Amino acid sequence: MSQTVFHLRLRDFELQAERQLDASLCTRPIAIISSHHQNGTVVSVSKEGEEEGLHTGMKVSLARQMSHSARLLPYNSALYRRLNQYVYSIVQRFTPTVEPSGYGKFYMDMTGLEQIHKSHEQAGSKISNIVQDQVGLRSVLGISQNKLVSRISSAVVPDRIHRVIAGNEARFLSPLHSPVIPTVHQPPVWKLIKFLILNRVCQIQSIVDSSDEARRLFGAYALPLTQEVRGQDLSAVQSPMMKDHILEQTVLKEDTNDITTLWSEIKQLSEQVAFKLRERSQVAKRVRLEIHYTDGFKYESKGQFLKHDNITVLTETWRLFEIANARRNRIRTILLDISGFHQVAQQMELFEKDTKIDRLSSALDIVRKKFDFLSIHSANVS
Amino acid sequence: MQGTASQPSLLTAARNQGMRHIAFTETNGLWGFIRFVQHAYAAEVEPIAGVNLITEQGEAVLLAENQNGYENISRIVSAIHDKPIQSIVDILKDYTVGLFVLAHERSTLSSLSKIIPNSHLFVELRPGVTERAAQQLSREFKLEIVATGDVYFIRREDWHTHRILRAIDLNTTLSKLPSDTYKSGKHWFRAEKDMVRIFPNSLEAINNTIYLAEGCKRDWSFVNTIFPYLSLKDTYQANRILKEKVKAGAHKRYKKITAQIQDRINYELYLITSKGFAPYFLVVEDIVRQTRNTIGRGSGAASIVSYCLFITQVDPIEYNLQFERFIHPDRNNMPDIDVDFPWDERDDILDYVFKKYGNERTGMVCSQVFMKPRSAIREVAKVYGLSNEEIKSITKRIGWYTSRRDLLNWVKTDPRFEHIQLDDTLEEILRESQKVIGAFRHPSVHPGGVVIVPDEIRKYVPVLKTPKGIQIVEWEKDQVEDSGLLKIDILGNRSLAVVRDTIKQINLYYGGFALKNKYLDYHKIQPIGDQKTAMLMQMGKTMGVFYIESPATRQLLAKAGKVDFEHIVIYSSIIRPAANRFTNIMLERIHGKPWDILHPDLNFLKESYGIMVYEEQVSMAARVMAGMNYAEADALRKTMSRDSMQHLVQGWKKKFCKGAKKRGYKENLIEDVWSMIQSFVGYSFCKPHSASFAMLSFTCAYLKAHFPAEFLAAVISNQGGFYSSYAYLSEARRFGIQILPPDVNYSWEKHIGRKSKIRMGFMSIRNLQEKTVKEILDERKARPFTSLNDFFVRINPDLSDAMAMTNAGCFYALAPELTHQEIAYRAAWYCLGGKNEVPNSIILDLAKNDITSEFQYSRQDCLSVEDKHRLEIESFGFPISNHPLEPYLSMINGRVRKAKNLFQYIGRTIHLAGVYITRKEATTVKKHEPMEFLTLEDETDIYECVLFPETFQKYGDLLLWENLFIIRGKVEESFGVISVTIEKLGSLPKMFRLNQSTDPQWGQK
Repeated sequence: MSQTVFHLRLRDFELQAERQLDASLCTRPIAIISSHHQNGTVVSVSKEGEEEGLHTGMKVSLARQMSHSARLLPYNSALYRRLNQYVYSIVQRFTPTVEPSGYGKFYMDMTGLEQIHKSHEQAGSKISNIVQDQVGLRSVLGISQNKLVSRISSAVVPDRIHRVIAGNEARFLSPLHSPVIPTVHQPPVWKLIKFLILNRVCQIQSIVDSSDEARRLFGAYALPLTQEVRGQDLSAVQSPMMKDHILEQTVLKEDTNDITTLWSEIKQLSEQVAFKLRERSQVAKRVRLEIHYTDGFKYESKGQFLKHDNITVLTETWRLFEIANARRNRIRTILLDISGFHQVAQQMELFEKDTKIDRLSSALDIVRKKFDFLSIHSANVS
Repeated sequence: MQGTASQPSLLTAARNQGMRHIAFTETNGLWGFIRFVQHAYAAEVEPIAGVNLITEQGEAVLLAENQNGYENISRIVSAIHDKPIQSIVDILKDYTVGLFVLAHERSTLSSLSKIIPNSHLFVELRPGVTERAAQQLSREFKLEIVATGDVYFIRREDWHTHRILRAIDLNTTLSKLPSDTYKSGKHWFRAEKDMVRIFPNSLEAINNTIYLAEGCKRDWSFVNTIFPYLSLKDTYQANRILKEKVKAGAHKRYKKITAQIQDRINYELYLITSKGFAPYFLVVEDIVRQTRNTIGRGSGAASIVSYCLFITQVDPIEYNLQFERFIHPDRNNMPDIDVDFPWDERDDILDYVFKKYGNERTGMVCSQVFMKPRSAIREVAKVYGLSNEEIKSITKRIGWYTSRRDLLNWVKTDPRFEHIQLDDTLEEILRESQKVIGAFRHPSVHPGGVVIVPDEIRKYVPVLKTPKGIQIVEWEKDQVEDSGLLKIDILGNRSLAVVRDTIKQINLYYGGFALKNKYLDYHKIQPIGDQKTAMLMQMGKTMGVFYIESPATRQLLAKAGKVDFEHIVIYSSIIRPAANRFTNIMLERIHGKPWDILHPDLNFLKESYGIMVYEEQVSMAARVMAGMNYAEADALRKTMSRDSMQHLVQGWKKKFCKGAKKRGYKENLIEDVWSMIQSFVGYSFCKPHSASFAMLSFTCAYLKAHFPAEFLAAVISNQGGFYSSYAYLSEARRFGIQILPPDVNYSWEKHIGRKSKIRMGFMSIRNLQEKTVKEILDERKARPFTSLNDFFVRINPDLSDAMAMTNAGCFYALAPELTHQEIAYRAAWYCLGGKNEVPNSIILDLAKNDITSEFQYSRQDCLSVEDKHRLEIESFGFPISNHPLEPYLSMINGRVRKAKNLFQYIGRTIHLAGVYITRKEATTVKKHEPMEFLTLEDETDIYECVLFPETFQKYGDLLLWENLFIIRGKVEESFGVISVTIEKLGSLPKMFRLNQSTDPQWGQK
C-alpha cells in the first residue's frame, strides 16, 4: 500500500496569530521582529510590508528607516507556542502520527485512513475547516505520497488543498522554481544552479536524466538532487517522542559577552541536559554546541558526554563553549544538540562511592521529575 | 596601548606638582620622544629620555645619561623590535654606555650587576614593590634604591580605561583579560607627598630620584640637519657636481639662458651650497632619474635648480614662483622637496633607495595611527562585544577626520544620530571611547617618506620591520622633520600613472609603436593655452582630471569661467574646507564686482583677487602687519597647516593681533586678515605646490580633451580616483565612447581605450584570480583562442574563474552560435573534468523543457533582461548593457525631467530620477548644522544637488542604503551653473514596488 502524507501549513503563522489577536492589523503593513533593539531582525513580513520594501532578515533599524507606517511587532513566542499546541492537538485527532516541523507546520501520516474520511481530500478539507473554525487561522494542505512533495505543494500551490497523484510528482515539480528543492540550497549546488541559470526544476530534471552527467556536475549531491527533483522521498513521518535528539537552547535575556553571565547560563543548560540523560539512563557520543552571536554568526564545537553526572556534563559543555566562543561579540543564543545515545554501562560498585554531590543530585532529580525541571534553580554563591 | 595619559596632561600634572624633571619611558619604544621634548620645554619641565624595557624574561627602566646613552637606548629598542623574546642582559650587554638602569626583580638585578657598575644600576621602588623587598635587594646587591611612580594613568579612576586599552591591544574582552596583562589600580600619577605616603620608610629612595634626574641628559636640541654626506670632501664634491648638473639641465630646459635665468640659478646655487643642501638635491635628483613621469611638489617647485634637475615641472621664472618660500637666507631647517611618482612605480623607487643606501642608513617614515573618534568607538565597542553592524550604525555617521571628543553628548544631540537607540551599554561605550581618543594604536608605513642618514640609522631613531618586511623608523613625519633627520617624500600618485598609461596607449595607436615614433612626450606636452583643454575645463567636465575633478571644483571651474594657468593655481589652493566663504567672494570679483585690497601694505594679495590663498601670503601678512621675523612668520604658517599644532593657534592669534595693533592697524582690518589666516587651518598649500599640481591638472585635462577614451580607460585602470568605476564609465558614455565587455582574446588586465571605444579589462571582473589572467595573457601571446574547447584545453581554469569569466561575457565572441546558458554549461562541463565535448543532447534538453503542466510558466530559452542585469552586477558591480534607471523608465518617463534639460527649468520645482555618484557631507557656516552635497546622474547627464539641514535631517538616512533616487527639487542657477536644491528625496525601487504588483527584483544598488 502506498503512503499518504499530508502537510498542513498555516502560512505566515506569526502574522496570522497577531492579526487574530488584533483585528486592526489586518490591512496594515506589519512585520514580526526578533527584538525591538536596533540590531534585531525582521522574522516575518506581511504583503503590505513587502510593498514598503521590508523583507525577512532585514535589520530592525533599517526597517524603521524604510517604512514609517509599518507596525513592527516583537516575536511573541508564548502566543505562537500556545496556538501551535492547539493546532497540534486538533490534527492529532485525525492520525496518531503527526510530526511538527516548526510553528504552524505539521506532517501527518494518513496512510490507510482514506476509508475513514471517505477520501483524503475530504479529510484535508475537514482538518482545514476545523483549524479555521476553532483557532481562526487559515491553512493550506499538500497531499502526496511523501513528505517532500506534500511540503512543496503546501508551500507553492495557492489552493487550500492540493493533491499530487502518485506517479505525477516529477510532473508537478517540473515548472516550479529551482529553490523549492532542498538540495539546491547546498552551497556548491546553488553555485552551479545559479551559474547554469537553471531557474526551473524541469531544467535540473533534464540534467539528472543522465546519472553520469549529474554526478560529474553535482558530485555527492547528485543522488539526493536526482531523487528530490523526481519527487522521491523515503523519510517517514515521525512523532516527536521517537526523535533521537535532545535539543536544548537558551536565549539570553540580554546579549552579552560577560563570562560570569555566560558561565551561569552554561551551567543551567548542562544541568538540564544531564537531567534528561539521567532520565533516559543514557550517555551521548555526539554533542554539538552552537553559539549564535548578535550579528547572526554561528560558531560550533563538537564533543561527547561519556557520563551523565552534572559535573562531567558541565565540564565538557564549558570546554566546548570555550572552543566555540572564538569571537568577542555578544552572544544571543547557546544551543546543545545531543545524539548518538547509548545506555550507560552499569557496574556494581564494590565499595560505597556515593558522594554528597551525587546524593544531592539524585534528590534534585526526584524533585524535578515531580515538579518540572525549572522547579529548582541552582545559583552561584560568592 | 598601555598608558591613558597624554603627554601634555602628564606634563601639566608634573608642573602643577612642582616637578622639575620628568622621564618619559614608553614600553619598548621612543615613539613620541621628539614631541615629548617639545611639550616638556613648552611646559618648562626638563625632559629625560628613557624606555621601559619589558620582555617575557624581565623588566628594567633605562634612562639616558648623555648622548651616547640616548643612542644606546635607540639601538636597544631596535634590537627588541628585531627579537622581542630575549633576556634583558642579552639586549643590554653591548649597549651599557651612558645608561642608568633601574630594575626591581632579583633575577634581573643579579644578571645586570655583572655588566653594569653600581653607580649606574639601581633597585627600583615602584608601586606594587614593597619597601622591605627593595631594601633586601639593595643590601644583597649593594645598590641604591630609587623610587619611581611607574605611571600609566593620571587619575585613579582612569584604571578602567587602562584595562580597556589593554583589551583592545590584546583583542579580547574585559572579562577575558588575563590579570598579568594590565597594571593594578596603583599606577596613577602621584605627587611627592603621595609617594612619601606609600613609601614612608624610603625617603632616601625618593630623594635619590631627584639626584638621578639631575644626572640624566636634559638639554636636547635638534637644529642641525643630518645629511647623507657629512665630510668636507663629500660636501665639496657635491657642490661641484650639483653646479654641473644644473648647468646641463638648464640648457635642456631653456632654449636660451637669459640673464634673468642665469641670475636666478646663481642666486639659488649660492644659497643651496652655502647652507650645505647640495647633497640633498643630488640624492633627490638621483632618485627622480629612475623614472620619467614625476612631479616635484611642495615649496621645492619654486626652485629653478629643481626645475633644471628635472625634479619639478613648473618653470618658476615663467610663473613667478618665489624661491624664498623654499630656502630663505634666515631659514635654518630642512627645505622640503616632495616628489610624486606613478603609484605603481613607487615600490621600485623605494627598493632602489634601500639598495643604494642600505638598511643600515635608510628607513621609511612611520605613520603613527592614533585613536580617532571613529576608531575609538569601533575598538571600545568591540571590547564590549558589539557586532560590526551595530558599530557601523554609529560610525558611518561620523566622518573619518572628525575631531569631536564629547562623543556621548554629540550622539545624544546631533540629528544625524536620532535613529540610534542609546541604551546603558552604548552610553558606556561612548563615555569610554571619549577617554581613549588620542591613544597610540599602532605604527604603519608612511606613504612615501624615507629617511637617509650618513652612518647608522639606529643611533638616531629606533627602527623596526613591518609585517611586509619594510624597515620603518619609529617617528612619524613631523617628528622626523623636527629631529633634523633628512626626509625625502617619495609619494605615489595615480594621475601620473594615468598620464603615463594614456601616453603609452596614444603612442601605440597614433605614433606607430613598431617605429618607436612617439606621438606624445610627457615633458613636451603643451596643454596651457590649448583651446580644447580650456573648453573642457570651462564646462567643468573634468571628471578624472587630477585635483580638479571633485564636484565642488568642477562647479568652481564652470562658475568662474576663467581657466588659464594662474587661475587654476588659485583654484587648487582655495578649494579647502575652511575657505568656502572666500571662494564665493572671489567668484564675484572674477565676474567683475569692484574690489580693492584691504590695505596698501597687503599688496601681495593682488594676484589672488585680494584674498589670501597661498601659505606664503600668511607668512607675508604676519611679517608686514605684526612685524614678525622670518622664523616667527614661518612658524605661524606651520602651526596653521598642521593638525597636531592646533592647540597653539590661539597663542599665535594673540601675538598677531598684538603686533598688528602695535603697528597701528585698525582692529577690523586685523580681524579680517586673521579670519583669512584662520581659513588655512589644517589644510593649505604654498603657491609652488599648487602650480605643480595645476601643471599636472592641465596635462590630464589636455589628454582628456583630445584622447578621452585612452584617458578615461587609464583613469579606471589605475583606480583610486574621486569617483567609482561606474561613474567614470558613465562619463565615457557622455563623451560618446562605446563600452565593450571583457573578451578572452581582446581584453588586457587593464581597461584599454582606443579612439572611440573602451574595452573593459579583466581587472573589472570580480572573483577572477590574478594568476588566471596572467595565464590567459601569456597563452595568448602564442596565438588567440579559437574556440571554447581551445580555451579550456590551453588554460584549464578552476570552476570559480570559469564562472566569473562566463558571467562577464568573456566567451561570447568565441562561440557566437551558443546562448549564454549553453556556454555556461560547457564551461562547467570542462572544469568539472569533462575531457570530451559536452553531450549535445543535454544542451538541447536544457533549451527544450516544454513539459506541459497544470501550472503554466513562461519558458526562458535565452538570457532574460533580468538575468543579464543580475549577471552584470555580480560580475562588475554595476550594469554595463543599460543604465541602472532603465528598468524604471517606463514608469517614470513623462513624470520626471531629464538632467540634460535642467537649464529650461531654472527657478522651477521639478521631479528628477538619479543614480548615486558621490556625496559630501558639510556643515552650515553659522549654526554648524549637517547638510549634504549630492551628485546624481540620469541616463542623459550628471547633476549636482544640495540637501540643506532640514531636508538632510529628514532624508539623510536614505543615502545610507539607497542608490536609486527620485527627487523633487528646485532648479537653481549660480554664475551660470545649475544645481538642484532637494525638497523631497525618495527611493525609486520603493516607489516602483508600490506601483507594481510584482517586484522586479532588479533595481540594484
